[in-house]
Amino acid sequence: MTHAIAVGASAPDFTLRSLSASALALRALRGRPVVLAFADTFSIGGANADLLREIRAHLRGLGAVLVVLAKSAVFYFRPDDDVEAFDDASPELAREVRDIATAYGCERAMPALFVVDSEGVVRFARRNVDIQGAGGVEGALVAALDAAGRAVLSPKRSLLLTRREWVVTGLVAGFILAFVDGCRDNGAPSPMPPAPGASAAPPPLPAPPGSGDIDVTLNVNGTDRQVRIDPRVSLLDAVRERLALPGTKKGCDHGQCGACTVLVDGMRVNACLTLAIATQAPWAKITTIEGLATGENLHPLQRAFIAEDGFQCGYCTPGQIMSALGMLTEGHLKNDADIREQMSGNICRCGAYPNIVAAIAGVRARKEV
Amino acid sequence: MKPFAYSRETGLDHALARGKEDGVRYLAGGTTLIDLMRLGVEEPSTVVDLRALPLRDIKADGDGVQIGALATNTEVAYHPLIAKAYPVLSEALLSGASPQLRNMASVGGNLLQRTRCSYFRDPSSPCNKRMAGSGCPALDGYNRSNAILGVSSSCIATHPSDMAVALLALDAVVHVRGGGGERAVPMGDFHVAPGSTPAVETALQKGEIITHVTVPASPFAQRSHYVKVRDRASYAFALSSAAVALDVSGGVVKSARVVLGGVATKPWRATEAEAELVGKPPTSMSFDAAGAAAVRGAVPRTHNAFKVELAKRTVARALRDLVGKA
Amino acid sequence: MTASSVGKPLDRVDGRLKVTGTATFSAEVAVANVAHAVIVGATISKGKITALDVGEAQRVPGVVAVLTHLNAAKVPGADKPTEMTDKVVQVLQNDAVLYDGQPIALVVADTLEHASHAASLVKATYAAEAAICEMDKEIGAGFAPKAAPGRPPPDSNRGDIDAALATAFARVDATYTTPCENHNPLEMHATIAVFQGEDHLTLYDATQGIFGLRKRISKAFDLKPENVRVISHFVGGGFGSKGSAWSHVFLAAMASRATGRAVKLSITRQQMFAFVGYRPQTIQQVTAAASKDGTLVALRHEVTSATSRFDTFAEPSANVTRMLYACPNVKTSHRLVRLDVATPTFTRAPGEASGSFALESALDELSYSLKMDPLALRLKNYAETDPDEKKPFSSKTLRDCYTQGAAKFGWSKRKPEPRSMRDGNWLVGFGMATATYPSRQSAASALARVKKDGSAQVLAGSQDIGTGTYTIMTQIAADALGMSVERVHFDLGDTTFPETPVSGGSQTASSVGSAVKRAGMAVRTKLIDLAVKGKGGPLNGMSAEQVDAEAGVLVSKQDRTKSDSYEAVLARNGLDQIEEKIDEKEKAERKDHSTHAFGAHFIEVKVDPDFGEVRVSRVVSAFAAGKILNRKTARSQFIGGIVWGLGLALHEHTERDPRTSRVVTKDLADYHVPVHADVPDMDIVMVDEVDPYVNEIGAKGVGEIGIVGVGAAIANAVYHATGKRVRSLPITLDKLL
Repeated sequence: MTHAIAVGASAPDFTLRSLSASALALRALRGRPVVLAFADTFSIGGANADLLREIRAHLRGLGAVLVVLAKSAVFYFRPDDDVEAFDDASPELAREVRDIATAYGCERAMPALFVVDSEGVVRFARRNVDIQGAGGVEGALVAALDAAGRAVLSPKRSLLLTRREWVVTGLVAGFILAFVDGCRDNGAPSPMPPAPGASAAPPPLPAPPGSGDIDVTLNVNGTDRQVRIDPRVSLLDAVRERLALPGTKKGCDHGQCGACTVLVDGMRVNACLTLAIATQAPWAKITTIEGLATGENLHPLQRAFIAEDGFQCGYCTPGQIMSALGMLTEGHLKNDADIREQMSGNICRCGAYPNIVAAIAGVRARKEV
Repeated sequence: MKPFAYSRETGLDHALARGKEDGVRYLAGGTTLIDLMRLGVEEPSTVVDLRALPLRDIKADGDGVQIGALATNTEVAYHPLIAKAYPVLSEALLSGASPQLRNMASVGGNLLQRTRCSYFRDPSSPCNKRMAGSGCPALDGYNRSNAILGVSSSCIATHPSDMAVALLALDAVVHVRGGGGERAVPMGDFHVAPGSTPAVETALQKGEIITHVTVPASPFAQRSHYVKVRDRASYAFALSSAAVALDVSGGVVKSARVVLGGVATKPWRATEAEAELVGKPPTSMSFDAAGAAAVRGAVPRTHNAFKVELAKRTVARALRDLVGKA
Repeated sequence: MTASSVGKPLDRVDGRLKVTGTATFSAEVAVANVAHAVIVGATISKGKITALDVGEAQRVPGVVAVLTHLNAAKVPGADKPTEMTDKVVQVLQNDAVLYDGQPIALVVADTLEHASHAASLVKATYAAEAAICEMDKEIGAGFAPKAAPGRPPPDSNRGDIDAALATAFARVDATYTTPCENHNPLEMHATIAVFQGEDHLTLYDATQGIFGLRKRISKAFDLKPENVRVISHFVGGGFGSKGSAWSHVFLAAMASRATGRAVKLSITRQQMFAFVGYRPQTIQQVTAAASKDGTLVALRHEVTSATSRFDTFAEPSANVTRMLYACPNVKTSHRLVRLDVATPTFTRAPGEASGSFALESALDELSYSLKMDPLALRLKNYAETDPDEKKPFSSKTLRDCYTQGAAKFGWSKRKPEPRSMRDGNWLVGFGMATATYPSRQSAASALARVKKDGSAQVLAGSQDIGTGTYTIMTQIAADALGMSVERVHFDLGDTTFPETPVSGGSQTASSVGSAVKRAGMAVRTKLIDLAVKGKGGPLNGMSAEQVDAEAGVLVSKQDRTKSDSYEAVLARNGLDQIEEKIDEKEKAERKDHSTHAFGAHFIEVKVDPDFGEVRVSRVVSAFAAGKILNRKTARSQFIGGIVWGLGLALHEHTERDPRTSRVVTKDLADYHVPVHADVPDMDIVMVDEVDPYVNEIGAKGVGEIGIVGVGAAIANAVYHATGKRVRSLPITLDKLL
């Protein structure tokens, strides 16, 4: 017997007792919004790694818990943690999941999504979710979470709401957006990442467009990346906040520390004083610290910094390494004694200077750059 | 940062036309403009990027050299025409900022660099340069980095450029283009002291673009030298600097250039110091006299009084090093 | 025996993450659709906000909320600090302005650009009052601070200093000053706050103390501590400034609660000078007197430091004077004056760094009065036992630091006369000073776990602020577990891990290291027990004492062919893992000992005779700090401390406009820290020292001692080079013209 759980009803409680670790009960999650996803299959491995990373980023942003109930596995996502996967494939688990799906009226209507608020009330319910695109259930989930996040963030009113109202209205509005309009491609920018393997670069975190935003292409580490940005966005904020490349650091935002050093057309510059829009492709090629290693093989400077302990906290390190690379390739370094002067645009507050110099001198002596 | 529209121009005439619009700022290296925009000191409504203009060449110009306004500080400093024939310019450039900033900063932008006075850089503070008539807190505030020469009761902001100090010593000429065509402004006339209008810093008119700088051949260009004194060994603005150049023949100084940086509201040519040198043998005694003459009329304040003595010694030392080097 | 990892110069285990830009600092945690918050700071230093116009700011597209004292939720705990590291914070609770840059509004928007722009449009009108920041004018109003629990009292007096001074042969009376310094870690303070529902809060925060932060925030927001989770896997430097929960953390949490969104708040470099603490300026009067042979007969050290109107932090500069030399008559005091400024805080070697500048400068001055070598003067007054606590030192190998450092440096080549040594045009000077720092230990917990695949996971809350915690804990754990470091994964920076103290006071190696060691040992013991008493196996029936652990394998000491791997032991006994959590307290033997690390700096400076520019050209520093856990990372800690000392001596000072009490030098172009070109290569001597009493692992902590004494060693070298005694830091060139 199935009956549809309606919005506004109490979410049927359940306890998964057959999990190998410890039991998971819906009631125990009370106090935080919970997203329940039912699907025939769900995967977090291999090709889905980017989607997984995105799901986690979205849950963090929403402060929500996600429980995915698939036929032979359960995935429990807390916002701050690695996902816990219970992949028993045991008949007991399959039975438990089936029973819960029945309680939620979706055992024949998967994929299905429910949002349960912090009081345990169902705020959104949708069965037979239409999955389009390459991402499968996982991709659809990313799209839904993203739409929910955007709805929470786009301020439609100037009054301050309480936290609870926001979460509930935000999540609900988001899911409605996602599954009534959003998922069925209505021309809105899709947060869907490219097909797995299409690009080595991590997917960008979506940022909502603001007024006067412009689509630009940045060639970063050999890959063209599209971003929609306000002309004010510095190259530094573009890579850190829009392209999910936070290796380049912000230490002062005024060209006074060198932490943001990147190479533009092979020359080291301060990304904080560079407008992203002015370094778009094909005008410029940008290299950040993320572009130095080749797979598992570190760049000689990276290896030397580790060997000589050319850092402590590590925050200035990407800038130091990029600056060292620029210095060694720009061709103006006279001798080892000149390294200190030529690296003086990079402040290391931990005071690792002697080790940084040793690392660079070693690379230079070995002619590795 | 206030929102602005961005455009990139590839032709000089187009760029000049854009300059007539209200609220337009030209962008080159960005090391001054973006910095000040982020502080809220500069608030253009349109930023016109000039970097695609063909103004980057450094080439021989008769016996002298012509430097495109968009040539970077790095390109100028290491260019063989400059490094050999105009050591003071190369030295001055390489003593400034950091390699990263020198890779970005252009010659034109460097000439238009704005003061580092902390009160100027803080929009919540009064400043006559930023807001005419609001007052100058530096006069009786914390003024260790401020100027002792070329000051007025409205402003004691130091001009921060190293390059401009050297260019003034080399009798360089700044070439600008505007609606009215091209004009040439000698370096000595390019920067202006604050007087009662500290917002006016240069002879550049609204909508004009610096196209290039010419540096003539001169009997003293090759015997020239830059000394910079600062609070740390590198990556700091000058507390005092001196660009000096000497033409010595027959054991006597025929002509001399002494220009001070870090102590004045604009690159400061010390003609009295030059006069102390000309016609005399280049000796330590005349160098000291030149140093003393260079700071005549200096107006020290609470925290920058040391600059009087420091500038004096910087001049004398630069001259001694120059002669020692030759 | 297993080859020991502790002591080896192991590369940092987190090195790969740091050099590839994949170490995730707080502001870099991936949070989709996060809102960006920007703090609006007051532009006066004292008075009241009479009006706040947020209309224009609210109209900026993308702005979600503008919080001000008119609409912000009440945070009753904001001004109720309970722990030593807690601060009174200003989080939009009323209209009072107490210092320049104090938060008066918070703008939350969809992008950083929108938030920053909107923040610049918030217009405040004030009723300003006269603000005072000149400490010397207030010194008459100095008062004695209350003693912090567990810390030394503000005043001390032993012997009879007046009587001793009457008989002294040589005497120095001098006033030394140190300026306000801002820590300026390269990573600005940053928090991502995420409320999950009404009563769960996660903070990704750049902090030196996740548990202190959790306690402070959970109390202030009336949340259960277990519902507040603080995560801080990488911290871009702290140096004391990230040891407390400052206003921005509260504001980020308030904004998340108010807007229902995850909120990222990364403060600006300019704001790093406003409300995240600083080393307060000090005025220190020192009297040092000796008999003709150089025996110290009297030391007096009177310290006044500055604090805010609303909170108290005293820089304990004179504590070092109480214990460093064998002097029978010593009198010290600490006083505070209140100014219209933000509250200062702990800064690398708080007290010792500033105080040793005064003490060790005065001793140098005394050495000239006595015509005695400065090193000989110190050796003459060597304290064999702690003259203050009247206890033996748990270990003290300072004499070796003096002799080895001096030999390596070539101290004997020093010509005693000032201005007597040259290198071309440069004046050359040699200076030396003693370094010391207390070796503390706090309660700490750790958990170790060996898994069925033979790998180990070790957890302790803690933090790695660049000190190498990840690396040394991995080494300690590996040795304790009898495993190779490659098989041990140590994790930190999460309040769901066992509780640990703040990363401050050079106590992490000592406190957390002891807990990790004991947790590892406990697991190893359990494994051995299982092997000898559990189901079957080659070691079954032996006594535990007969079994050794080596690279994850248990071996019979008598017959090394008999061995049993950890995987096999677990598998045979049907276990997924074995784990032990240890709550480690202060080591009992510490009570009967005085515990300090020691060192000696020998520094050469070159001074330009025309300009007074000082360049540090050579540094030889020797340290005895108990067991050195990792020679590579320890050396980096010493070097880093010395670079900080170089900044203290020559560069760093935060200046205020005396008329407004507003900070004038609030960026890294105006506030100078040393750059590459200022720092020479350094010769660091690590003197072997075995200390059975200080803690379980015998390590004394190396994070702070490096800076102690460097200010004086450089000032002393400058005097030797120039004949000019600079008693006011930093030694900028104008003081030498």
